[in-house]
Parts: sequence; structure tokens; C-alpha cells
Amino acid sequence: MQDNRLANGGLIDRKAALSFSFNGKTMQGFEGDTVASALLANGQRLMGRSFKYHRPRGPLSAGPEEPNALLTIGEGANADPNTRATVQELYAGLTARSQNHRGSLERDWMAVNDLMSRWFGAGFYYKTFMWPAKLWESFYEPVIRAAAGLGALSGEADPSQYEHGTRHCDLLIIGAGPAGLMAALTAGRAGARVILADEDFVMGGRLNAESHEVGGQLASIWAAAAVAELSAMPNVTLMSRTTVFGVYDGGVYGALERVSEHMAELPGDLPRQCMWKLVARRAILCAGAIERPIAFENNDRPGVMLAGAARTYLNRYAVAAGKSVTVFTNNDDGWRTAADFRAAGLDVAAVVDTRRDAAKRPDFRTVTGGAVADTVGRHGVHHATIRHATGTEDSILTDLIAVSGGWSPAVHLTCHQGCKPVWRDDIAAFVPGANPPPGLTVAGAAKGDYSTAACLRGGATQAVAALSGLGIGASAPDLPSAEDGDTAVTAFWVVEGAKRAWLDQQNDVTVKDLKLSHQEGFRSVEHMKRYTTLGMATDQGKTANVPAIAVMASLAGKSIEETGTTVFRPPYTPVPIGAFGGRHRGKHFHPTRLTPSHDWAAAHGGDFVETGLWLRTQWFRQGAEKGWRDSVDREVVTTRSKVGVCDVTTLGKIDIQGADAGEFLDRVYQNGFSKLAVGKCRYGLMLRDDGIVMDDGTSARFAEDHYVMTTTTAKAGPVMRHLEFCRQCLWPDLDVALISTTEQWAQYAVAGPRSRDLLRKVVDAEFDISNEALPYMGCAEITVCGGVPARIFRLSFSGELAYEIAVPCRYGHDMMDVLMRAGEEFGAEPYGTEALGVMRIEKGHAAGNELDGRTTAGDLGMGGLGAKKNTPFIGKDMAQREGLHDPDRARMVGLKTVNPTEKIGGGAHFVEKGAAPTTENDLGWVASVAWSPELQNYIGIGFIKGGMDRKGDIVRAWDGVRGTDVEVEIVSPHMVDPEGERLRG
Amino acid sequence: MANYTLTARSIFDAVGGCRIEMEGLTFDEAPARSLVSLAQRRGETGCALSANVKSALGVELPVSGRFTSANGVTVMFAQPGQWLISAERKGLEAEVKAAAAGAGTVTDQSDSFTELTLEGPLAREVLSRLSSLDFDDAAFPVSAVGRTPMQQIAVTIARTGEEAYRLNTSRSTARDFAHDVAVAARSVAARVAV
Repeated sequence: MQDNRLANGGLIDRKAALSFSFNGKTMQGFEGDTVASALLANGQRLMGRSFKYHRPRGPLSAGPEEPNALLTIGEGANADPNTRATVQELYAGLTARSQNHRGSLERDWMAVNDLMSRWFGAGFYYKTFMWPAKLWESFYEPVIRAAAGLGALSGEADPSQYEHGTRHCDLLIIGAGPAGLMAALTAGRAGARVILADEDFVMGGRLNAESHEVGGQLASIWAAAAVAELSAMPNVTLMSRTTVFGVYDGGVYGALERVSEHMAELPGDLPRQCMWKLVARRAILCAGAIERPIAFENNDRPGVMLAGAARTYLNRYAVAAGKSVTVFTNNDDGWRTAADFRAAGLDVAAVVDTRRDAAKRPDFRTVTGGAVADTVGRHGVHHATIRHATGTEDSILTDLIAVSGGWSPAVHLTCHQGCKPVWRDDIAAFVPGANPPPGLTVAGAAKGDYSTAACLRGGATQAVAALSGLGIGASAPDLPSAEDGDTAVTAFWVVEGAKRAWLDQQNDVTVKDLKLSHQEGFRSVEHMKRYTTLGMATDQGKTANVPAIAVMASLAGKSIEETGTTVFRPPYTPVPIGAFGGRHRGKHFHPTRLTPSHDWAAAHGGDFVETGLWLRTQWFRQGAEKGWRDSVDREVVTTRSKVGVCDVTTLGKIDIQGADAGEFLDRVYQNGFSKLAVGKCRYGLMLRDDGIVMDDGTSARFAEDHYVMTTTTAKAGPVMRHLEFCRQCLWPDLDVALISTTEQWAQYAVAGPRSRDLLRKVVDAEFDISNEALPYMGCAEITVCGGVPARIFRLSFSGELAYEIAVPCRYGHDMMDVLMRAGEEFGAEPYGTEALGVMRIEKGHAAGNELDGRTTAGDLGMGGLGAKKNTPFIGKDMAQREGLHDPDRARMVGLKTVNPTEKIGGGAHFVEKGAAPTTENDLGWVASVAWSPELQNYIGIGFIKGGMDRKGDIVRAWDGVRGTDVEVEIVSPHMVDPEGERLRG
Repeated sequence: MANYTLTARSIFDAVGGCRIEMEGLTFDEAPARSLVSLAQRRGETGCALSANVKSALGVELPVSGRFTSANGVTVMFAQPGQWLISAERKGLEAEVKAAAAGAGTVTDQSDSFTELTLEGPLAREVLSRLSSLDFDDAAFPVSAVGRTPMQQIAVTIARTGEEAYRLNTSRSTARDFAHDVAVAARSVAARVAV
């Protein structure tokens, strides 16, 4: 039964009745309701339990600032905790549950905490649970966490979809109250590209909540007409249900649109929310103001509500939040609540005005210079104690206390780039400071201009000014008539009393807690916030901060101005992590790069591993192979004895052309390339500016002015960027052009003693790939399979006779297939990155594990590479630094476990036999390890002090993480075919 | 000697293409074309290169942010001093090399990119979900071209008609990109349906 619903009025559709449930109980509301207004209409003002003391709580507000009425909406994986009932639109079938209670909402046995509140003051856990220290993590903290808190996540994956989008405009208007609507009308009529964003589902702001008139008609009707005019303008985009939550550089605003949270049934692909990036040349903040409460004893009971919110429920939702209202105010605005309740035929018990000089109105019982001192009632206000100016007190029956402690402009967005709000005594409020984010101006109540007329005026004026800055002519329209009342507020924050008076209802922070914070030395607002938790959590103290600052100021004997505010940061209201993630979730968290042989590999037992964005095949499982080692050992043996094929497309390829291409390479590599013969490749080592190795690879020369560089897979992007920097910024005078061709060529390593035999079947007959025509480190442009252009490089990472063959990517899939079919008679098999790794470790080739950003060419045993070159190159001078030549540096060596089958892990540290595994005794580390099928031994590459001087020594490889301690022999890194006879064969 | 043949394949061959159609929106892979990059050489003026290309191929090198088309050849601006030239015919690399006549550097990029088309009244709205570029008529008219990250992937996008766009994305990521476009398109279409 909607007992508290008025018979008439409100912006609700009485023809559209909606059924919903609260804690399993079915209730009715109307379209246009929020969950809070519908619950209040049904007489349900108890909506939750408080954070710490488990006190009964009802809505304080009717908007996004709500600290108390937080509900879990939805069921199962769709359950959304901490949803503000004051902004959640009602829909048919909505299920809502209250939070933070054990047992029923009405009989929460955790409310026993309230009885023990004297021990639960601010920071109690810092002081109470000091010993025994080890109990903190195992006992105290879990118990406190379980007892306190708000809603809980379902623990299931969120099934909702989240969208990302960008919109651009000349003028972004944030907030569609009187100022925002007027600004939008002004700019829209001038033809500017306008976005008007408002967090509410009905635009109009306070105009929808008040009973006064604009332009001779009810304010909400004027607002609806303005919205209708705007929606007909093609240059204006209206974004309702959209909260602009943050201001970022370059006129970028973050906004969250609740796309479907108001819908009973979700069409399959409709996102729940959309995260918008709004790019605005100019913006006007018309976010309005937030009313704040006055602290008095037991001011947190359901039934204590902001005066403006009580009017909102009355005028917008036709809901009487109480049957007998007592208005408690320090300003004229509070009186509007009394007038509206009276006009609706409801009882006004009293108007208590803290101002002694407030005008008494004969039609109300008025207490001037007085205060509401206390409330009584189990699950909500039943009666209240009124303290008169004389100090005498009396008790009145009242079930709704409408409090107004004045209004705080919603300055938050102006602060997101460091602008500090400034205090204005005349309106007892912080207003935006003088240096808001570039391009952002403020109008209306957000600026401290509270009257409707001032808002309309401000919106029009700011719009004209903003557009004029863009060179768009606009004229201020004729403004509709509207109330232009004076604010008339006298600061009043706290009613003195011995019991607890709440400042931050969400975090259960009382005036006493602030006194304690001050007493214990936490006196700056920032310290106070951390000590008491005031202003934290979902509402970020929107109603609590200013009164708390006033209390802090009074405790310290300072002005509010001197006390200052804490820093407002984005987001203005909570934004789900899912919305930040958008479509980029699960395996689409980042893009996936597929190699040309991906589909072939997937069809042939390929097991994939992520290397950067690439998916590479790590091994190909065959037949009954159980473990990965079975596959990898087989691939290594096959490659070393017959022939193997591996997709190496992921290595970076950079096409380098121009008359100065050789000179360019001389400058970026430690060794020389300008004298490399056409048709030859060379290994190159690239240093960073600081002399540390950046990357390695080979570069092939196809013509006097044409090289193709390869990089490691991991460094393909960084090297390209580095080279472009060199080309554009360091040496713009060189005639050289760079472009990545990584994606252009599908490239396969064909390795093993039968590799040439295999390739002879594929390479077109007119091309000679014999040892004489194409010796080790040769390269050529050829054709394969009857005229398909290809490149062949005689390179070997495995140490075998080997080639890399490249064809345009469109042929990549078929090329893999052809290589395997052509190789069948030689026993060819594909191999993956693990076998590739085993073979390069056996050969002592450094890779990513060794080029780890700490090692020098000398550490890698390549200090002499390019020694004959006299011309400068990047890193040359810095590589000469004394420390980089310290004989005590760890240098690269090979290693074998003394017990061939004893397993060893990468990352183990070398220590002498018998020495304690300490930092002082650390000799170096193991970088790469593998089981060598050829040597039938665990082997590795590591870095040890003394390097190859330690050859033949036995040391320990100690691994504290895996708990192993293995004796290893230091050997040459070239463990298989050290003379390189195979690769030249 | 056994006879082996290589067939040119799209990245979408194994997954049955990427075409989606909804609410008048069509997203599909464009027929493969030859594509080469042309970079102006140091010491050369853009004018000389432009004149060479114009006389040989009959198409102008476009200014920043635009593409030009003539005689079956399309030239897209890529970055200062660099263009991407495409045509349906083979042998484009040699043709452009000859056209540049030493004033430009040419590299074949035919296989580096997958070309996709997005067309229909919802195309612009779908693009707003994929990219931060301003696709308004004034900022991105027909013949505009831009390079922008979409789903963390660099994409070159050209507006080929009132409601038609062409997107060049790297071949290796094209499947993932197509998935992202499909998700974005479905959510935009769902809004229209509501």
C-alpha cells in the first residue's frame, strides 16, 4: 500500500504501476519513481544499517549525494551492491535488498555494536588491537572487516556489457537544471555543437523538485518545454542518466551513462553502462548545489532528511516522507519545505530556525534561535527534542525532521586539476576557485548563485561568453521570470550535546570523533579524514565534508578558509571497474596477434603461448605425448637429426632504404654494416644510449641502398620507435626511410641437416641455394612454388644448417603446409618456441632472458664485436664507463648440472660451495635453463662474477623461491657444436 | 619435382569471413588490393615527388588528413612525407617505384594490412564506440583519412562516402579487431532497437 503517496501531482506516471520487491516483500510504485521514493511511498523509511554501529538508516537525500540508502539491486551475478536508492530508477520486477545486517533489517543483532560505541570511536583499531601483533592479520582484521562494511559483490563474473565511446562538441554543459538548460538553449539556438549531460533520468534539476514558477508556469513544465526544444535541435545532444565524473587534460571529460539500469528486461546486446570520453572545446559546470545537514544528537535516524530532499519527494514524486514535519533550518530555503508541506495539506509540527532574527510566520509554530537537539524512535524518528533560545527544551511528536544547514555548491569538477575552492562567508559555502580547469566555467548554484533567476541568468551569460571564446556569435535570450530570492543563511553547524551527533552518516563519524582526532593531533583536514574516515567511501562526504570542516575549524580556533578542504579527485560518483574496462575484458583484454601459421598449428596439435600480444606455438603435441617435455624433446631431436620448421614471423622486420641506409645502421649498431656485401646478412648488437644492450638481430643487405633488419619479438615496437627517433630527431640529414614489414612477410625457420633438401623442393628451380651459391649468412630474393616472391636468409639460431624463408603473409598458411608436405620424406616436423629455446641455449645464443636491460656487450662476451669500426654509434661512449668494465661484473657463461638429471630453475643464484646463500655471497644468476636432449643433461646460461675464468668450477645454483640447491659446473656457453661446423655445412 | 602451389588467403578464411549486417549496417572485408608505402626521400621536395606521381599515375598526393583517388589508384596520407598507395592491379610496387623516379622510397605493404569496410546509417555511431576521432562532417568529411587506435590497435580510416568508411588494420590483429567492431555494432544496434 502506497500510504504515503499523495493523491495528485508529481512527475510520475500513475497509469504505469510497477511491482517490485524489497527484502522479499512485494511493493508497488510508479514509473518515474526512484527506489527511494517508491519505498517511502510504501512507508518503508528504514533502508539499511550503518557502517560501524549498525544503526537503522533511511534516506538523507533524494540524489547522488546519498550516504545511507544503499541497496543491492538485482540477483545473483547481476546483483549490484551499494546502489543509491535515491538515484536508481524503479522498473517492474526490480529486486532490492538492504545491506550490512545480520538477521533481518529490523532485528540486526550486530546492532549490539551501537551499545559498545564508546569503545569504537575513531581509530579504535589502531589503539585497541596492538597485541599480540600476530593476531592482527589472522584474527582482528578479518573480524572487523566482517562486522563493518557496506554491500558485498556477488563473487561471480559480471555478465553485463560495458561500452566505450567518444563524443566531441563545442560546448559541454554539465547539469540540466535552470542554469544548464538556459546555457544549452542559448548555445543550441546559436548553432553550436552542444552536449547537455545530466545524471538524472529527467532533466530539469531542482526545477522538478520545487513548487515555484518559471515563465509563468510550473518550473517542471518550463523545464520539460526547454528539453523538448533542445531535443529538436540537430546540433544538440542530450545525455540523460549521464554523470560527468572527471575532468582530464585537453578538454576531455569522463562521463558514465547508465544505459539500461532502468530496464526490466535487457535486450541481449544492450550495454549496462557506457563510459564516454567527452571532448569539449569549452564546458560549463552547472552541477547545482548539495544541501548539508546540521549535526545534532541522534540526527541519523530514518526520518531525519535534508529539507530540499523532503520537497523533492513531495513535489516530484508526490510522496510525503512523513506525516508531521518539523523543519530545522539556518536559512530561508528551509522554510519552502514547510510551505510546500502545508500546501499539500500535511501537518507541519514546527519550524525551528537557528536564526534569532528569523521572521516568525503566524501560520506556523515557529521557534527562532532554537534547535532540534535530539530525536527518539526505534526504527525512525517518533518524536524530537526542541531546544529554545532560552535553553529550555520540550518534546514534540514528529516523524520527519527536514534539515537545512545551507547549500554547498557542487564544485568538485572544478578541483580535478588542482584548483582549490574558496570560502564565501555571505553564503557560508565554498565556491569554485579562480583557476578551474582550462575551458571550464561555472554557472548557477555550482557557483553560489542560488536563486532560480540567477541560475537562468548565469547559464545564458556563461554560454554567450564560452561561445564568444570560440568565435561563435550568440545572444542572450529573453529570460523567463523566476524567483530571485536572497539566500539569507547564517552559518550553524552543530547543536551542542553530550551524545553522538553524526557528521558523516555513511562512515559513522560523529562530532565526538572529530574532537578525538583533534585531541590526538590529527588536525589538518587531510589527517582528520584518514584518522576518522570522514568523507570516504561511496558518497565521498558530499553532505559531510563542509560541516566537518566547520567543526575542525572551530576546534582549532581557525577560520574555515584557513582550514581548507580535502582534495576532490575523480570520480565524482562511483564508477564500476567494468565500465573502465569496457569491451576489453576476458581474452579481449588486449588485442591478440595471430601468426600466419596459426590455423595450421591449431589443426596440428599446436599449444599456444602469449608472447606480448602474439600467440605463438610453444610445442606441437603428437599422438600419446603426455607432458610438454615429450613434445619439446622430440622436436629438438627431429630438428637436430632431420629437419624442423618454426614460424618466426613474430620477429620484428624493418625495411631500411636510402643512400645513407648503411651509414644509419653503422650509427645504431655496435658493429659495422655499411661494408656488408649485398646478398649477405650480419648479426648486429644494438646498444641503448647508456651503453647497455638494447636488442640484437640480423640485418640483411638486398641492395646498396636497401637493408632489412630483424629484431627480437619483444623489442620489435621499441626498436622501430628508437630508429624513428634517430632518423627524425638525431640525424634528419641522412637519406634513409624506415617502415615496419613485420606483418608483410610470413617467415619460417627451416632448420636441420635436411633443410636444404627440403627447400630445394619448394624454391623455384632457377634459384641456386647450394652451399656455394648461398653460403652461411647469405640472403637472396627468390621465388617459390612457381613464382611466388620470397626471400631466403641462411641464418641459424638453432646451430644447425638452417634457413629462414619469407613469403607475403597471404601465402603464409599455405607455405607452412607446403613445407611440411615437402619435408615429409625427410621426417620434417614443426617445432615451437620451447624447442627453439632449448636449441639456442645449447648454442649459447643470448635472448630476452640475457638481454634483460642490465647486461653490456662485454657481459655477453661480445665486447669485441665491431672493434675495428672507428665511427661513432649510439651507446659507444657510455659503454666505456668504468663500472661497466669492472672485472667483478657477472659475465655470461654456460652451465651444466653436476648430476645430469637434477632439475634447475631460471632465477637461481650462484654461490660457492659451502657458502651461505646471502646477498654478500651472491656470485650471479641463472638466466635460462633447459633439458638438453643432445647432451642428456640439464643445462643453462647464467651470469657469474669472473665469467669464463670460472670455467670448470663447480658452484651451487641456489633457488630460495623454489627451494632448490643444485651443484652446477661452469662451462662454455657454446655447448653443442662449438665450432659451428653444422651451420656451415 | 612435386608441384606445390600457394594460395593467397585472407586472415578470415579459416573463420568464414567477418561480414556482419544489422540495422542497415554492413561490416565486411574489402577485396584484397595491392598496397605500397611511398616515402619522400631526404633532400627531395614534396612537389617533385607529387609531380612525378601525378604524371605517371594520374593521381595527386593528398595533403595531410586526406586521400585522393583517380584511375583506379587511391593515395592515402599516412604521415608527413609518407603515403599509402593502393590499387586493384598487381605489380603496383614496381609501378610506383618507376613513378617516384628516385624521389621516393617504396615498400610493398600489401600483406601488412587487412582492409575492412563499414557502411550504413549507423556507421558513424559505431565508429564513435571504437575511436576517439571526431567523425563529424566538418572534422571528417568524405575524403578524410585518419590514423587512430581502435581496440588498442592502430587503424587507418578513410571516409569513402556519406555513410561509408574503409579501415586498414594490421593483418595479425584483424580477427580480434573484427570481433571488437562486431560487439560495438551490436550494442549500437541494440540501442536503436530500444
